[in-house]
Parts: sequence; C-alpha cells; structure tokens
Amino acid sequence: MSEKTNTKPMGTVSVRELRERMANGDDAVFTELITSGGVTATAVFIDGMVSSETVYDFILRPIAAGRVLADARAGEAAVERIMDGRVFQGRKKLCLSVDETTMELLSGSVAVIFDDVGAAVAFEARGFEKRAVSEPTSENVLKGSKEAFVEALRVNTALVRRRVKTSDLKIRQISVGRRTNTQVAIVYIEGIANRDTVAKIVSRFQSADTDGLVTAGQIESIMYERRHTLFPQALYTERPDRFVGSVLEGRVGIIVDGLPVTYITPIDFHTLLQAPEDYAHHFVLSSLFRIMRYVCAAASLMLPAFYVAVTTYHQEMIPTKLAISMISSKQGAPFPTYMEVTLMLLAFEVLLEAGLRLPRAVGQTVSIVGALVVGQAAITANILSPGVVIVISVSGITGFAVPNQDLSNACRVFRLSLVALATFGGLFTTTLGLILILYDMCSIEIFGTPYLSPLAGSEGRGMLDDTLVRRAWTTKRERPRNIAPEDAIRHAREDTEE
Amino acid sequence: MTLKRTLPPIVVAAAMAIACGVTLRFFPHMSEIGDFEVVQVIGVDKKGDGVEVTLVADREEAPGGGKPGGTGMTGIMSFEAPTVFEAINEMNLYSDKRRHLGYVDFLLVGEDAARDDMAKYLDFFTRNHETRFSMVVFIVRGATAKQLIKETATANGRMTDALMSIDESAKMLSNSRMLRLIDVARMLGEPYAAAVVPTIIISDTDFAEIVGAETPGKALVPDGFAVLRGGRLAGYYDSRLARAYNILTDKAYTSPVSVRGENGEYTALELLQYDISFDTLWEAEDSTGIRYGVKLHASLMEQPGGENVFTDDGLQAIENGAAELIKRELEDAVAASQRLGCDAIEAGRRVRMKYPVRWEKIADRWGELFPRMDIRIEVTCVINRSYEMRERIGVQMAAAATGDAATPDNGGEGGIG
Repeated sequence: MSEKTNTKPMGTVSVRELRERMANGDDAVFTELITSGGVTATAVFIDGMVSSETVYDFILRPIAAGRVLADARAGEAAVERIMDGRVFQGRKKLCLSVDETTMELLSGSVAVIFDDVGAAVAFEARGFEKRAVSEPTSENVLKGSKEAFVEALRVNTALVRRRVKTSDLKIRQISVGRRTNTQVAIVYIEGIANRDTVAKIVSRFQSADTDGLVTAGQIESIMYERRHTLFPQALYTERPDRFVGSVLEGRVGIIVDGLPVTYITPIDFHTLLQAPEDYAHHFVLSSLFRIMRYVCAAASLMLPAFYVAVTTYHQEMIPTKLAISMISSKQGAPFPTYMEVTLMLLAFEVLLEAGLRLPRAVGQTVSIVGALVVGQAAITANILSPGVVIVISVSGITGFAVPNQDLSNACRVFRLSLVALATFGGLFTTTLGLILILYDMCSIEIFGTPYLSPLAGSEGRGMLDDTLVRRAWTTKRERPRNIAPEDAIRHAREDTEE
Repeated sequence: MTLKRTLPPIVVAAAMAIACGVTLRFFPHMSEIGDFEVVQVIGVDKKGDGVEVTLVADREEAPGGGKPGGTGMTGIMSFEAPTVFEAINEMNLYSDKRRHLGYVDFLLVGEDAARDDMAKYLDFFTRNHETRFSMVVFIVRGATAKQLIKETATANGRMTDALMSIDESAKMLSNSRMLRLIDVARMLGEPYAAAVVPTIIISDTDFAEIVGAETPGKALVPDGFAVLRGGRLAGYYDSRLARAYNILTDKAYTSPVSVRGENGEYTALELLQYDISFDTLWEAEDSTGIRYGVKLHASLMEQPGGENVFTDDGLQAIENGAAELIKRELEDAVAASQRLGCDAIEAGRRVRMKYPVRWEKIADRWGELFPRMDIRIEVTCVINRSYEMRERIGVQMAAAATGDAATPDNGGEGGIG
C-alpha cells in the first residue's frame, strides 16, 4: 500500500493530452484496463498498424488478466515490473513524454499509459498490411535473384541482412520529416565503407529540415550535392542483390520506408551504364555489352544533332551515294531538316508519355499506331523524309539501351538541346554544347568521388577494372579506389588461394 | 549549376570569342541538303581562249505517293566561259538547284586541254574549298571530255559507276590506275620526271551490244596513260605499255599473259608479283646506265593444249616465253619514254632513293642524261602453282582411247611446288 501513497511522477505522459493530440483521429483506439494488481492504465494503439493478435494475446491479456503484475500496486511498480521483463514482448520502450509516446504509436506500437506516474510503456506490435516480396519490374535478369524491395523498411533491411551475415553490416536509422517522420536506413559495412562518407550522408539526412519525405525526388534533393545538374548522382535499384553488391564495394545504401527503390551512393558515371546482369555473364560478354551501351548512349545523345548539322551545314561530309539518296528523299518534303527532327523528337516524347499514362495494353497500341502507322503515313504523304524517321527511331531505341532511367531522361533533354544548337551553327555549336555537357560532368563530385573517375581524376588507377569493360572477377582484387574504401582489397590473389 | 561554377567558362568563352573577332558572320550559312544537286563528274575542255565545262549530276527519283525512290538518272549540262570558275557559276543560272562540288569524284580533261597546259585547267579544282583533292583525274584520249560524257552517259545508268569500275578492271589487267588530283598536282610540280596520267577513250563497241540495253550509248574504257612533259601532253602509253609502266613503277597488280609452249600451244599465266631490282652505272659523277632486274611470279591459269608441260623443259619454255614477252614490253616502255625526252618511268626517283648524295650532283641535268642512258632490263619468270590440277581435263581419256599409258601425276593434287 505504501507504494500507492508515495507515487511520484516519472514523466509527463497523460492520456488527456494524448487524446487531445489525437483528436479527430478516429483510428486511434484508447482502451482502459486495470492490471491484476489493481492499477488503472490505458492502452493506446492505431488501428490497422498493429497486429490484433499480438496486442490482445501477448500484451493486454498478461497485463490485465495474468498474474505477472499482481504484486504491483502502483503505476511506478507496474512500469518497473514490465520493464524488468514480466510481460514478454520482443521490443518495449519506456516513454516519458507525450511526443515520444506519439512517435511510438505512429510507428506501430501499443502504448500502455500509466497516468498516475506520467509514463507509458510502448510495445512493438506492428502488423500493418504490406506488399509481399515479388519480382523486380524494371531490373529483370535471367541469371539472378527474383526478389525485389518492397515498401516496408523492415522487410527491405531483412532482405539485405539475409545476404550479408556479418555484424559489420550497419543499419543506421534516421527519422526524416517533421510531420511524416519517415524512417531512413543508412546501410553500410563498417571497415569497408569510408567513414567520412557515411558521416556526411548521415549528417545530410539528419540536417534535412522538411515536413515530409514521401517521394523519390525529395530523397534525391536531400542526397544530391549539385542540385541543378540533370545527371543522376545516386544509383537507384529495386534489387537487393545489386544493393548488397554495391555495399560490399564500399558504397553506402539508403533505404527509405515507403519506397520500393533504394539508393546507392557515392557513384561515378560508369555505374549508371552498368546493368545488374553484367556480373552474371562472362566478363568478355559483359564488356562487349557495356561498350555497346556506351555507343548507344552516345548515339542517342548526338545522332539527331549530328544529322541536322551535316544535312544543313556540312553536306560534304556525307558519302556521295548517301547524299544522292538523302537529296531524293527530301524532294517535296515541306519542312526543313531541323524542323523535321525537332517535330519528330517531340512526337517521340509524346508517344512515350502517352504510353506511360495509359493502361499497359492500350499504351502498346498507342505506341504501335503512333510509330508505325502515323510514321509510315507521314513518309508516304511526303510530309517527312525517311532519313529523319530512321535517325529519330535509332536515337530513341539506342536511348532505351541505357540502363538507368534518370540518365536516359537527362540524355533526352540534352538531345533536344543539341539539336537546337546544331540548327544554329552546325557541328561548331554542337561541339560547344558537348563541351558544356562534359564540363558539367567534370565538375560533379559525389561525396568526394569525381563523377568521371576512374577515367579522370584517379591518375589512371582502375581505369579498366569495372568501367567500359569489366575484368574477370578473380583478377579484380581491389574495390573501386575512387570511392576511397577503408579496406581496398576485395579478395586474395587467385594463386594464393588454397 | 551554381553561378560560381558556370560563370568562369562563360566569361572565358566570351573573351575568346571577342578576341577572335567572332561576329554572326562567323557562323556557317544554313543550306538544306534537299536544295543541292550532286555533281559527280566534271569535264573540262579547251574552247578557244577559254574553257568549256561539262557537269554530270546523278539523281535518284524522289519517293512519294506510295512509290519508292531510287531510279537513277543522269543530268548533263555544259557552259563556255573564260575560266572554269565563271563557267560553273554561270551554270547555276539555269538550274533550280545549287550545284555542290564537294561530291565531285571524277575530273575528265579533254585531249586539247591536256595538250595546252594541264595545270591551267586544274588550278580551280586545287584551289576551291568545296572540291576534294581525292577526286580522280583522267585525260580523254582522242576526244573532248564533253564528247565522251555525251556519248557514254546513259539515261538509266550512272556514269560514275562506269568510271568507278575502271579501278577494278585496272587491278585485273594492270593497264591503268586511279590517280587522285593531289597526285597529279604533285607530278606536275616534279621537275625531274614526267607526269603520267591515266587516259580513257570512247570504245567503238556499242554499249547496247555489250549489255543488251535498249538505250544507245557507248562504253568508256581505260586506255593506258598520257605522258605530260612540262605539264603538256607529249604522248601516250597504250594498254600494252601501260602494264610495263605499272611494273617499272611498282604499281602493277595482277595481269594475264598468254605464251606458246614447246609444242606451240598457248598457255595462260597470271602474273601475281613483280620483284624489281635496280642499279645505276656511274662514270665519274654521271649516271650512264640503268639496270633493271625483274622477277615475275606467276600462276598457270589455263592450258588449252593437251601436251604435258609439267616437265622441266616444258615449264622452262613457258617461263622463258613469259619473261621474253614482258621484257619486250618493258623495253618498249623505256624506249618510248626516252624518245619523248622525259623520265616517264620514275627512274630518277629510284636513283635519288638509292644514291641520294650522287643524285644531288646530277639532279639538274637529269632531263638531259635520261634520254641518252643505256637502260637494260633482265626478266625472269617462275610459275608457282597450277591450282587444282596439272593436266587439262580429258587428257587421260584421250590417251586411253589411243592406247597410250596413263600419264602419272594427274588430277587433284595440283601444284608445281
């Protein structure tokens, strides 16, 4: 009885204040209960975010009907018993303020509030609906894992943990967003990832002052050092194996609750032209595919501008027979070449956009009708010259060979800009445009990693390790030097292996 | 991109542009490729004090209306003027298209123009920024360039294709070659040697007879080389001597010869390789004679006669016959060059390369020394292979019918070696 009379507040948690804060929140459930020791408490949880079975069978029933708190006659004693482990539940936390309690509730916990001592014990009881792990939608591979990240942070971290069974794998969780309190997990391997880089990334998210973190664009704007360049400065992936591969290289992974894609940083430009399947094929094949991707990216970027430049300013560059053929195809066409190219590029963008917005089946029809029927009709009616249609088609198709959508999108913008430049000054202004693009790329640095390294800025080290070509796995002993890993050696020499 | 990063390159670019005096006129002038007419062949002739320029433009019928394009057409236009430049510009008055000279692949110079002064008619083409130094130059033997173009260009065939095919035929016969404008310009500037430019003629054979085409038109064929002394046409090497010229100047490809064997039957050889040794005889500081040694490597291509030539004597007879034939050709080519009074076989170049110090002392007098030189040529020939078989097909059967014993070493094993 003495326990009851000498009650002293432990914190400032109060049911009344919590009710006020959750006012008009009809999914907040307040349930009053009396412990077996006679102490009055209130259980609070958000309906839909907790598992009913866990709440009732493993938390409320032991507290109210079990004997575990029979000897606790006051709130303080009850809290102490619970925290001592009388109520068996995986994770529990003592909350001493309303803010802290609210945070726990919104994260899927059940809070048992003891009003008399101003304290609450939060039990983790998450049980909200989530999508099951399924196949990747945009990064499918033939030889590789069929798992993709989902929207639930904890599922995603588990997918990573399952692949890296070491205590060195660190997952630092940060809450970002004044209102959304979105959980962001910074994933890295201690001893491999550069600690300064990790510190910078953690600090970047900790200092992010925003009310919410919901979209990928918001995350990128927090991570990116150069806000106004179109070049992507982080690699996104929905594949856990790719994520783990990058983390093992010494990069830092970022998983955000609510997003099925994860981010990897720091990266260089070459990372964006690598596909997940590169590491599943023989290194010679992978290297050939990579070279092809570089060629495709260059063709996609420059082909329309080059076409405009040579047909409008530098006709003597065209082989004679091709020139005759092009001249004949232009007979009767009403538009100048630069206008034909610009119109076709815009039409191509419209087709892409329409295909994305419409349901998949209808979208395909739009693409086929737009590309084949309208294109053929335009040529037959002599509105467009066939050469332009071929150039734009090749440019568009080669653009799809770029594995990273952000880079592909950047190329689309640059492509149109280069066409505009080619219209005004041919190859002279096109070259100026390309120099500006190169200048932009050269000036990007992602957490200390030069964007064009290791081809530039690394004094030649690792130039051909994993860039344009990929070396055989057994000969690639070192991790990428340009990201300055703590431990640069990946594996022992082949001849020293037992 | 922050202003701090973007400003420096903009300032540098602007400063460079201002320093270079860049104005809007600096940027190239826009012109649509569809407004061009592609001129591929230009003919230049002497016309009084001036020139007559003939342009050949190949076109393809435009697609449209559901029809594919691609049918070839040839357009020809001539114009007289005091200079080539004026003639070409005047011609633009009579066309809705701008004539672009960047695609000119062939330049045909009429015989009269070549006789007058070759360099005079080439000046515009070596100076103009649109024309290319890679265009191929031919001299039209026995006619004007305009005449050749009018008689050989057909309505449904491309003249350029015919000219282009000369290169292929020259590689099989070694009786001509393609010479670029830059090479002709170099030869015309060479003080010690004659310029030797390939020639084409209008064939007497009706083109319609050759290909069965309905459109009348004659064929143009290569016919050796024209020899220019001091930039003016001095004479010709016909097809026979053209091969000799190509051999002596290391420019011969393969070529055929037919020689009679021991029994008087023809045997066809293909000459594949020509190894040349060269030396000069010196008397005091002067070069008095030249010795050429030519070793021919040949393959036996055809043996219409039925006798067995694959004996030491039989092969020797054929090899000797081929060597003798080529030796005569080479001697005739040398004699013709000496008769014309100019070094048309690039002997001076060989002397300069082999004896650079001595050459310096005779270089200025080479034009006088060369016609008086004792030039001797030794030719040997070796047959290296006969391909799939030795004897002609049917020889065994004929021998069996007459009761002779079968000849050994026949069929299937091929080869001399």
